Amino acid sequence: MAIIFSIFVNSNTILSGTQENILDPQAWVEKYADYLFNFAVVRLSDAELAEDVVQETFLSALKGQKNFKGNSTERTWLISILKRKIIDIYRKKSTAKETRMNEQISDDDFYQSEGDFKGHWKEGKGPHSHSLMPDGELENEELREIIEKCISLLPENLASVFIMKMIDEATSEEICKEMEITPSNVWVMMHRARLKLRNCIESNWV
Amino acid sequence: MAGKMKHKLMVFMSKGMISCDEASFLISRSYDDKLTFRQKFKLKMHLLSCYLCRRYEKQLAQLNDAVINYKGSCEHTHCEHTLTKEAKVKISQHVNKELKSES
Repeated sequence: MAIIFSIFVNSNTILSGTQENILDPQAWVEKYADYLFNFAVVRLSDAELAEDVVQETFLSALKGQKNFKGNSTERTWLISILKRKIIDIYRKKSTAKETRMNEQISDDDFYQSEGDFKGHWKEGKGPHSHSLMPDGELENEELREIIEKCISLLPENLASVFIMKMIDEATSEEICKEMEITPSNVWVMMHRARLKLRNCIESNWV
Repeated sequence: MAGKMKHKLMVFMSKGMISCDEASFLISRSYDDKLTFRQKFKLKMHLLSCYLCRRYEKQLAQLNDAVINYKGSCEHTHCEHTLTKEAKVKISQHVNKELKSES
């Protein structure tokens, strides 16, 4: 009896599972607009741009409904379209010139550019305190806001690479392919992003 | 003679030494790439003598944890980013217009 019952329950979940993988465009805005918007704001640090890209995502999805194979959920499918659009924005923002400038490891903003201590931390640009944030503040709401603000203050091309790497967990190879840069570009850009973020976060706790 | 030896020794030592810019770059790179034995050795030697870069190393670990934490919290709650009513209405209108033109 129990076995028959469990088969019944299982087949039921399977049925509802397939039901989920049907597109229902009428309900998209109500169901997913905020979710897509949040996803986009975190990655673009720009609410207006995020709004536009969410709208474009829905319109592209409508036109591409026949490409939906039903092997993922509606939401996953919409996110995959949104992701492509965000990467296109990253690519537009990053120019070849900016990337070449980033080849240089040395950053005059942070290190001394001449003298006996060339290459050493500039006064006040190295870490001031032992800890980047007060102890046990990792879960803190304020820290979340500071991180968000500091990421938004990064130069756009550094922010793109940093977000792809840290938030989307892309590999260096994937980033190189999408942004048409070399692995050494990625390392230098990540280094610069971390220099600036660390500096920004530390100065926000003072 | 002793002075000459000392100078030679200094030159020899400084060849293997890196400064803070390179050391902090290697600390960062260790998160994205595997460092070679040589790079690890150079970095260790620098960290022995540089308290600022030791702090930097520790702080980058904290930064890494903080960003991972931020990522987690933004995926589960909505990070408080929601569309305004007006924006939602605008998007709905565009979607509905497209839906009508399809049918």
